[in-house]
Amino acid sequence: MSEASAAEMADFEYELSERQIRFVIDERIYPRDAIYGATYIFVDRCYVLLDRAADEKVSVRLRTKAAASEAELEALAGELANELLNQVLRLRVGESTSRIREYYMARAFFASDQKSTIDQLLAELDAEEMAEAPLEVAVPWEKKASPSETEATPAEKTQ
Amino acid sequence: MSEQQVRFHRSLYATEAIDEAVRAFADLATLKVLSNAEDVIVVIEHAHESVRDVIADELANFALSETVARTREARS
Repeated sequence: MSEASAAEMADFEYELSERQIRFVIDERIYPRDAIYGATYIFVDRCYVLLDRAADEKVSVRLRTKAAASEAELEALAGELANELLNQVLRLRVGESTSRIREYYMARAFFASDQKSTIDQLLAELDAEEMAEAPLEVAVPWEKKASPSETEATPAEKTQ
Repeated sequence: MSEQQVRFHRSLYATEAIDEAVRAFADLATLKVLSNAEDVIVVIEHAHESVRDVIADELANFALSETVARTREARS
């Protein structure tokens, strides 16, 4: 596979050559953050290089770290295409839910005068335990067993 | 003496990320940084024999990872 060959997968074109594939990605369809996110995932398996092919077009070159067959390179191309789509979706969901996240953050910060649910539950449990503690286990042992406040043990009496 | 070059387009790679990559690989080769209006070019010379075949690609991966990390940090 020494000669470069162009392949097309739906509307996603790529170029195959020895151990590498090259794509030109349109930033109007896949924003730069999506390209970053998608290519970053391949860094452990491939050497990635981005270049500016034209205005709003990013050239992505993936070179495999190990030898790869043509089928494996094509599979890699498909994986990148899927990952680009995945990243675009993540970005859009992130953008569309940003106001909700801001609202929750604001609520968490500005509602600090009220006890959180967990604090309330812990306080309730403490109150219940203290109310019904006939053995006074909440009192530190040192206080209860201090020699000055307690009577001598039977062994001490015999001495 | 074989010389290699890696060209990073300024619109795609953060300059600080390239600097960080150059610092990280400085012990493995002599690295020179050149720049023009569009690109930052890293010239690699006297690379250690054990990494000669991969140093340019590894440098590019490092610069990309740093760029992605910095972009995400700036957005969060």
